[in-house]
Formats: sequence, structure tokens, C-alpha cells
Amino acid sequence: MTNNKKVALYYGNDDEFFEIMQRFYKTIDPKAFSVHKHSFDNNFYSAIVKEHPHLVVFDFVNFKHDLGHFAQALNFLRKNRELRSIPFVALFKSKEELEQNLFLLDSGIVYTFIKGLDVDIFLTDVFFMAFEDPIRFRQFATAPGIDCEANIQVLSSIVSVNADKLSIDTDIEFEDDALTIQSNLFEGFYLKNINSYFLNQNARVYDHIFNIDFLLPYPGPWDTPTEEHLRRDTVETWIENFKPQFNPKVGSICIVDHRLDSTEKIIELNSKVPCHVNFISEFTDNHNIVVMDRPSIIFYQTGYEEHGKKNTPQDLKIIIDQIKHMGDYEPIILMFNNPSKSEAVRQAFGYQHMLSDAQSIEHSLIPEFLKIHEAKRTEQNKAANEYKFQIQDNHRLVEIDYKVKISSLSEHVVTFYSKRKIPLYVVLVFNFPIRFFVSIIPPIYEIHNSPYGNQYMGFIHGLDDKDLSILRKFVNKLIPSPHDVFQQFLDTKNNKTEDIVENADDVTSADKAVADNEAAEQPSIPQRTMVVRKNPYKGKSKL
Amino acid sequence: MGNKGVLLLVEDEKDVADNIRDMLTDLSEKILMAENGAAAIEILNKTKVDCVITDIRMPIMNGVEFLKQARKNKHQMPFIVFTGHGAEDLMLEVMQYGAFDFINKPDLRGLEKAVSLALKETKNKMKSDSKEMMSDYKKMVETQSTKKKT
Repeated sequence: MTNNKKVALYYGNDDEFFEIMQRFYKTIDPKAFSVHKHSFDNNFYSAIVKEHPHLVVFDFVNFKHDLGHFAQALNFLRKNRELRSIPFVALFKSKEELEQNLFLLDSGIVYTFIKGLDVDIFLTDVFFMAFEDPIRFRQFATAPGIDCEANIQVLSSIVSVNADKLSIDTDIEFEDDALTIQSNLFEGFYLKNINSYFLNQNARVYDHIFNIDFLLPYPGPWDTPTEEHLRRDTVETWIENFKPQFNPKVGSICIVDHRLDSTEKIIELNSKVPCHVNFISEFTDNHNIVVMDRPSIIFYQTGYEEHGKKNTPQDLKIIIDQIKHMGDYEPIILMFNNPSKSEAVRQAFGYQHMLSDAQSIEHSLIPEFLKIHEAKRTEQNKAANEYKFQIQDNHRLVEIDYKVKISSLSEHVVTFYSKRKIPLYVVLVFNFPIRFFVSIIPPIYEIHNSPYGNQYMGFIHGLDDKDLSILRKFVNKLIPSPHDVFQQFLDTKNNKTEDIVENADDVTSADKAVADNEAAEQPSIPQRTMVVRKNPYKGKSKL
Repeated sequence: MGNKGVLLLVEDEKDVADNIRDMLTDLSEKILMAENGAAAIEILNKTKVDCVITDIRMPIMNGVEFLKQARKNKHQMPFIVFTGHGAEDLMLEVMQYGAFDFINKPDLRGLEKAVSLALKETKNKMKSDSKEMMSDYKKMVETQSTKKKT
């Protein structure tokens, strides 16, 4: 941070937008906040590591670089414990551009904005996500008391696929749930009532919280196959045809390194090695990585008390104990920043495939270690039959249906009850009445739990002006009778947006909507007050 | 003289200490003795020692605290540490202060070899670097590959 100022970074080439941001922050407090402009280049992440900002805005309009490289770098930045608290937000020129680049939403982007809409909402929303300073929100007409169950979608990502199973990173701890998973792998690949096979408490690859394995639900020997059943030969054929598009990287290594400047080096390293690079900033972030991914080499930067007990030998022992239980898996473990000799280390851990060095990891040497290992890697991976996607391939994205109870809706925020815990800053997909995204936030006004579950609030985003108009009209229709109208909407077989826009003259301004709301004697919308971010949830957060 | 050096043996059981001293006589110029870590620290502070052999569980000051204090006092010689059943947690603690090798008590297998290597390192003032690790790594990969083929 520069001179203890709170810093926001803008990446892009829209000087006008940058000036708008600067004016906004100057208005709040010119001494406390600073906005810096950077251009996109291959080393864009260096400024983030160096400046350690509170907020980063990526303006993708006229973005001309390699989005895959960008997404991968973002993914690694999000793995660093110190950088993880920074909200990364994205600007797009259109909804189509956002949908084309949806993979960015599980590489680290937590909020989106379609340029051309009211920038004030964007500025206040991201300010609230980034800073603990008070901020004033505009008032919007709200339909409270909706109280209807409806399906939303949890944006998730396929980590790997083969003819037997899917491994998916997601944000909700689905356990024993019969899930419906929508994917765009190929037509007809639609999984309904599928139960999870194994739940991991850590995501494997992408910017999510959990990982779940699913066995593909082929008809059993006593089932009469129908058109709805998934067929194994169809899946196998698709995999065979898709092979050229899968990620060509084979095998993996794991780097455990808490040092802030290592993140940059690991991003650079990733583009130079032919295997997947699993990066864990602190061991406790993902202690199941060896079980999930079986890296052939583990580079472990030991941290001791002066580093606040990060990545200690005791942590490494947990990994090694897991390895010993796995039987047929013997990675080489290279322990760095450890003053003990290799023989002593092998004795202490009771594991023979270990070396120790008193120096810290030299990331530039890792390709050399890999070259030596190449013959062994090739051997190991002959049997590997898990296929992974390129990070920028939207085929890997899936949406898992999840039932919640909607409680209120405005064009700005939605509140709902959920039986399962939802981590903060998770991005969900809603479809009422059009598709939009919701980022779960600490509440900007008081919310209450219910016997149904905890109540959550989210900022609505990812709308263009046409969508916003439709949503606004929908909210206005809801206000006089929120539950009945919303339920009617859900019950309607053909929920076409034309129904909502049939009376074009009904477009109301926000002021009229507010007046309507008061007339309907709805519970009063909180007066516009300064809001200070407080987190009422005890649980996980993506930031 | 070759690689003979001054050893410090830290062991609270007299019989064991005498036995070890006899084992190591041919490798050493002199063998100093202490019954606990505190006494050993005093010796280190006054006398040049080339290698320390210490038990891990001792009264007054145990092996972990002894090693920690020694490193704090800038004594960088190799430490060979005796371990026994149930000492795994202590071994992990010792590791962060720099252990040269662990030797199992009571069988003491490998003690002479470990002391010999430790003295060689001290005499030659060998410092490990990434080249050494790379070389050891190559050998390890080759050994692993050979094992898998057979």
C-alpha cells in the first residue's frame, strides 16, 4: 500500500472510467484512498503482489491478451492467503461478452458490471466489498415477503472427467443431496438426481471451496434403458472426440509456499512446465491435495515460528501420513528452508523419498527437477485417464440446481433463506425473471434467520440495460402481492419475459416504485443510511 | 589426524554414556561428557566442539531445548540426536533447529558412520547448496525408477 492509503487498482484503457473511479474515491476521502491505473500485460499480477491493494477492477472491454494465461494467473493469485482477501471485479461491454468469459467467475472474479449501466451502483457495491469504511447505498424499490421456494444455480466447475466419474469444484457443501447438474459438455448430458460419491473439504483447482466426485449414473444391469438415461458409449465417444481440446498437461507437482513473492514466480513457472502446478500458500488451505491429485513431486517451503507457524514440519507430517496410507503412491518430497540433513529428515518422517535443503525454494530450478523426473512421470501417467479442461474452456462450467426460499427482491439486492451454509462472496445464478448473477455479501440492512435456514443477501449484477428494465418491471409487479405474483411466475409453464414487458408504458422510474411501495404499506425499506460492513456469518468466505 | 575431532556426548545414563564413549574413541581426538543440556551449553560456550551427540529426553534441559539454545548461541556444529520409541514429535521439533542425523537408542546402529560423516563435514566446512540437492535428487529418481522396473 502506498503511504498507508487504501488502494484500488484499475486495469484497462478507459481513461474516462478511471477518472470516474478517481472522483468517487476523492469524494469519499482523498487522503485515505488512492486509485492507480495499470495496463494489462503478461506480468499484470506483479503490481497486485507489490501494491497489495484492497480492490482490483479488471476492464475487459478491448482486452487483447491471452485470457487463458490471465485466468490462470488470477487463479494462482487467489491461492495466496495474503492476496485472497482482495475482491477482483470485472467490467464487460455486454452480457454476451460476460457469458463468453464466464470461466473468469471461478478463476477469481467475484462481481461483474456491464458498462453503460449506472456506474454509481457498481462503485458503491465494490467499495462495500473491498473496504470496511461506511458507504451510502441508494434506495431501491423492494418487494419483501416473497416467501417462495425456487431453484437457483450454483456455478461450479468440472476439474476432471472420465467415463466413470466427474470431479467438480463447487461452493456449497452438498452432501447426500440428490442433485441436478446442468452442463454444456454435449447435448443430452444432463445429470438429474445424482448423489455425490465423495466430498472433499477443499477445492481441487478452481476458485471454489469444496470438491465433489460424482459417479456417472449409467443404467444398472436391471434397469431398462430409456432415452433419459446417460449411456456409457456416448460419454466415451464424446471424450474421444474432445481429446484434442482437453488440457494437454500431464501429471502434477505441488508447491507449498507461503511467501508472497513466490506467487509471481509460480505463475511464471506454470507456463514453462508440461505438468499441472498445484499451488498451496498455506498447507491448511488444502491438506487433501495429495489424495485428490497425487502430485509426483512436492516442493515444501518450511515455515517456522517467525512466520507465524505456517507450513511447519508437523503440517508436512500430516501429508506424509496420508501418503503412507495410500499404498501405491510414492512422491518425492523436497523440503526447503530446513536446516536438518536429508538423512535426519527421512528418519524423522519415516519416509525414504525425501530430501532436505537449508536454502529456500528456487522456483527457476523447478523445470530442471522436472526434466530429471520426466521418464518417471511418463511412466506414471500412462495409466492416468482423467481428463482436464483448459482453464478458459466454458465446457468445464456446470450449474448445480439448489433450492432456496426467496424472501425479497429489488433491482439491487436479493435476500433468501438457505438450508445449507453459503460462503460469503460466492457467485450464484438466479433466473427471476431473467438470468443474473448474485454475489453473497454481508448484509447492508438487517436480516433474520428462520426455521427454513439462514438468511442471505446478495448484490445483483451481470445485467445489461434491457435485463435491468425487465427486472425492474418484475419487482414492480411483485410489490403489491409479492408471494402470489412470484408463485404465479414460478407456476407458469412458459415463463417468457414478454409477459413482463407486455406493457411497455409500465416502465416506472425508481421514484415511482418507491412511492408505490409506500402506498402498498409494505414493511418500510430502511432509510438511506451509511452502512458499515459487518460479517454476521460464522463460516467460510471466498475473500 | 584425518577427520578426527572433538566430540561432546550429552547423555544422562552413565552406563550408556560409557558404552558410547568406548564406541567413538577411535573417531575422536577427545570426547567431552555432559549429563544434561544445561551442562552441555556451558561446555559449548567455552570449548571448541566439532560434533555433538545428544539424547533427546533428559532432565533439566532436554535435547530440543539444548539444540535450540545452542543454535541461538551461534553453535553451528552437526548435532546427532538419539531417539527412541514415541519420540516422533520431539524429532519434528528438533528438525527445525538442524539435526544431522537421528540414531535409534538402544541399538545405536549407524552411530559411528554418522559421527564420521559429521566430522568430515565440519573439517571440510562443507555447506549444502542446491547443486548437492539436485545431485542427490538425480540419484533418488534413478533408484526409484530401477525399483519400479524390478
